[in-house]
Amino acid sequence: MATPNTPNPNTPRAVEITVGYKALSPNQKDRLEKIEVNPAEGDAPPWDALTEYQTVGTDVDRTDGMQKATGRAKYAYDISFPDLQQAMILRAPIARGILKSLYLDEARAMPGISAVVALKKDGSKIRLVGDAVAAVSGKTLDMVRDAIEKIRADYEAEQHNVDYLMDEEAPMLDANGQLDEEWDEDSKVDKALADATHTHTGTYRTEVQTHSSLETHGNTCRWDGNNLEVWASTQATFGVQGELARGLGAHNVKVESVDVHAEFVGGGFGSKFSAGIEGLACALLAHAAKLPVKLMLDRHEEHTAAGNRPSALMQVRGGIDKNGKITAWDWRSFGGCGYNGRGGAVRYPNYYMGDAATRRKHKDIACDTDPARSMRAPGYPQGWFGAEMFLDELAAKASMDPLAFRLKNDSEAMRLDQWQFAADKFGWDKARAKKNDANARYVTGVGCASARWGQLGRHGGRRQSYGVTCRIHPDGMVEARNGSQDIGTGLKTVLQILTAEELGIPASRVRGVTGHTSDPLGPASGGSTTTPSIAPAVRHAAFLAKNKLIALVAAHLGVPEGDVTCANDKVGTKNAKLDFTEACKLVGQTPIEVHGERYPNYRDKPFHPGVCGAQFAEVRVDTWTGEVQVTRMFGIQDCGLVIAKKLAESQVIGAMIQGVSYAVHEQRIMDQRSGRMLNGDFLRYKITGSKDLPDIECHMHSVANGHNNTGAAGLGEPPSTATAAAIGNAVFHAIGAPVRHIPITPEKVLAAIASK
Amino acid sequence: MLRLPPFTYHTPKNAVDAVRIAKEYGREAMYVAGGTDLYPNMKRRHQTPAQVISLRDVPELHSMEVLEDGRLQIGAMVTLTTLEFYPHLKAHYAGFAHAVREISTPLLRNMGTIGGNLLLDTRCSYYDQSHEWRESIDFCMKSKADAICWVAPGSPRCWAVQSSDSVPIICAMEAEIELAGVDGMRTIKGDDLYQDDGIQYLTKKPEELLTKITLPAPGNWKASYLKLRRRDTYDFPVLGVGACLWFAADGTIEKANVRLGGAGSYAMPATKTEELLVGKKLTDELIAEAGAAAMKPARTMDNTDLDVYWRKKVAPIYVARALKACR
Ligand SMILES: Cc1cc2nc3c(=O)[nH]c(=O)nc-3n(C[C@H](O)[C@H](O)[C@H](O)COP(=O)(O)OP(=O)(O)OC[C@H]3O[C@@H](n4cnc5c(N)ncnc54)[C@H](O)[C@@H]3O)c2cc1C
Ligand code: SF4
Repeated sequence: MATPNTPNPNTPRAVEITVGYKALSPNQKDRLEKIEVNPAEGDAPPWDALTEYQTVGTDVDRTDGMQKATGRAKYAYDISFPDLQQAMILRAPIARGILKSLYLDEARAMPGISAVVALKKDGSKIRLVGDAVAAVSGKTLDMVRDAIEKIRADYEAEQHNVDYLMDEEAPMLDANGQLDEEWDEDSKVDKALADATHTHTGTYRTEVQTHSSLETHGNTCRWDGNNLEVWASTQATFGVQGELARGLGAHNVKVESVDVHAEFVGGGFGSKFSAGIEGLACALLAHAAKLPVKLMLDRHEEHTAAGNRPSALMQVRGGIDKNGKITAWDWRSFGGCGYNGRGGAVRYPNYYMGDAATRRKHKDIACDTDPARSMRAPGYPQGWFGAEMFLDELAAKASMDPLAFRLKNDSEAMRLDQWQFAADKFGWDKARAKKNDANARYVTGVGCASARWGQLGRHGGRRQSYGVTCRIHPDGMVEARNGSQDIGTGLKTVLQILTAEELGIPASRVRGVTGHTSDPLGPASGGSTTTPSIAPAVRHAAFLAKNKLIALVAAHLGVPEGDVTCANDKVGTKNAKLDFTEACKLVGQTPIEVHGERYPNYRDKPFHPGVCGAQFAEVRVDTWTGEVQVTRMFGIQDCGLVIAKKLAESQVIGAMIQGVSYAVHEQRIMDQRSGRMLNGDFLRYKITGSKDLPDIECHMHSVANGHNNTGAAGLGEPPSTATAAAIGNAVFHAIGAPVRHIPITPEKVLAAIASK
Repeated sequence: MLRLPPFTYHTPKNAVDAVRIAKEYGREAMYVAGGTDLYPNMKRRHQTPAQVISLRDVPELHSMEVLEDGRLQIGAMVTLTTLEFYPHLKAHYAGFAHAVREISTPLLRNMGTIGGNLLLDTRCSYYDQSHEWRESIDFCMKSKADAICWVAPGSPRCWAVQSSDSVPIICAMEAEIELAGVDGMRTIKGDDLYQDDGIQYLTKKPEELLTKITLPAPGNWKASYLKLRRRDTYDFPVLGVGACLWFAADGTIEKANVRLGGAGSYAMPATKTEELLVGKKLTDELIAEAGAAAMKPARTMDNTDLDVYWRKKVAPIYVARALKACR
């Protein structure tokens, strides 16, 4: 029964906070403003730009770093049981056709085999080399291999195509790789182009990038009656739970009867949202075998049938007025997708276009290869490469410095500060002014590009909001738990740091636990939402636990609760204080346990609705051979509140490494005749290694957006948008001609030099 | 998952026994040194020896010795890491030491041996694939005599690529190779161990054991190696230039050997380049001219990394650089 005097929890209480950020350098200004926000009743009071932190934003080590470095961390790959069965998938050898018939009996009769399941019916379509046909489990992988070889599968092959540019839907390219088709009429854009002082057109291309997570896809499944326990290499524990429950509906399985664990995950980059055919196959095999089964993909399967960033073909034409303002922007793009013809959409940085007349068209083109899956900022690195290179070419036509051109057109105030700060740090003016000797064999160049992403986190799924459990144990240890996974981005450390900050104790006293669906709901790690979504619930949980501890201490000291604080590892009043661990002894046998809630973001307008960044790159080009070496990079990136500085830097540096690899090395090579990938391994699919990396530096820009009690924003994806574009622009600066197609391999560089 | 086929593992204690076992089993037997080439190949079913003869316990293959006449004799089982850090090598054979350092990665160099490196199988994009992969294209000539070559479909021969980093410089330096056979030992020149064929790339008999490599004594010569590849971190060469020049007291080149690895099925001599060099001094102009003459012999095919025409086009630049390093 509601008591009339309790305030209605839905009535907002306004609080004034300061948002924005302090000056990035002495020659910039503070960007601070006061806003009113309306936290939910019972939520922890908001942190803001003036909050002084003890642990947040410092160099706390990754909490599970030692476990990972010493091999004690148990990934899905490492899970083992007595009687554990190993499993493999039989994959189709043709790129397109029909499975005529499948004979499994001989495989079933092989020694050591515990289960065989068909993953396709007779008459099903085969859509790529590597399409899953059947799965086998057995005592050892050797036995499984033997059995797989006994499966007879007959196929009827059809004509295939593994190059989207060969599809009849694909546009025509001229001899220089430029899109060679008329533009449709558009009165506004056409007029803006006609009126422009300078105009320009260019065609840009990017190639497929595979996710290349160190741990491949796969899982271990164990049944107990109708209950299924799964150890998965996934970036969506709750997603896998729901998906398997749906997929196994015929076996009387409900969501509650599936438990998913993902304590350690060896990367996902967007490819591990689904349980996948390997997840379902593993569960089915374990069910049929009545034994636990492990099914992990091998590296070749991972490269050829576990998703990728699709390729893109983009053409831009645009114009500027006499002041260097963009007035026309006409964009058409094509996504080079897999068999389902989806996922190839690209985006471009629209904050440069202001009032310009713009048009945007996109078309996905299918071919008989592995379909696209979201990959670290899906569609952004492709589009940014095209758009940011186009900007440099356009600036060159107007004889403008590319940075000055950006400062003129970039509409995001925060990034204007970042451009200037990063340009100073990088030494842009001097590097840009440096002239290469006309006859020099080695030339250098510098380029820049912007980064952008919009994620301030969500409060929950469709039915339930996210939450965090916080426990204070009598021995002084504190535990913070959420059921989402830490795919390497550092969720465990985030749980640890925020809880320590709220309780005023050292981070070493807190354990962050993630990756069990028995813990409170959390999001899939996609769209850079995990930290911004979970952080406020971590704080709320710690806040509630703190209040319970304060109540115990107040009673113990015989003082009012309002006088007791929990800070500097002490709980008590000014005059009477207990060490935190002493205070915890008052807890008794049963730990304090509270549930922290993720309330929706404040309805008020945040300081900034997403995150911004900027990157600079320097390259050295051998003009005789065309070889490119990226020598130096600097990046600045905001992510709302910087919670764990080291981990945040590691996200940005990691994104830049992946971007260098994307820009100069990685290339999937498909063989048109066989429909197969020619380089489906880590020797021939070239990921940049340590010796090929530039010096990379980054600066984390902490911004108070004032959107919830913590103010964290997404970070995994934004820094990956800029890198390839910055490198492309640096090469353009170095050799004086654009290489509009990544990877920037030496023969393309020589061709560009020859075309000058 | 790729797995090893079953085999019997032999561990002879001396070279004579090793050769005897090899002869006894004939085509069924293969030697294994570090196994960094053989085992992956076996997993892909390129070679499926039922008898694998380990050379680990053959002491004479592990020695390294400076002979009285100053030559350096290296046992076939000496690991690449040992060589890399051997001070005498760094001091007197800088070019060769550099080539060794350019091979694969520190981990693989800990296992891989110089003997294994000299006998490394030739490579090709269509060949270095799993059995299942190759089966689906019905194999190619290198694994099945009546199959086609996927790189050059009309070709009567295989063009798989010589990919060892030590071979071009060993051949250029005229190092000697010692082989133990059933009839005893013989010593041949590096060049004579190889032939221009992607399949039968070695001239030695299968049971012949490579025991030692002998490098010439330091003297009036200088050798160098230059490697081209996509990543510096690790990659097989797509071009590997080994050069060795002998100089008269006044700096005139008396003899020149230039070998191109990664550009054909053996380390091919750049004959025209060599001819241009002899009798002259190593000026910048000569280097450029001699380098340019190396474009023609480079026989690149589209069966390894990077653009096929580009690889041919830059051969002169790499040859010139290798020559410069001989100064
Ligand atoms: C990822 C990767 C990258 C690599 N990169 C490079 C590279 O950049 N450059 C390069 O040159 N190599 C590279 N290699 C190949 C290989 O690691 C090296 O060539 C190594 O030196 C081979 O030596 P090994 O002792 O392991 O040879 P093994 O694999 O043991 O043997 C190779 C062959 O030689 C035969 N053999 C070995 N010793 C003898 C002997 N004494 N007498 C007769 N026959 C013998 C074996 O039967 C086998 O056919 C790479 C390998 C891998 C897996
Ligand atoms: S060159 Fe031709 S025959 Fe030789 S391995 Fe390659 S595809 Fe096979």
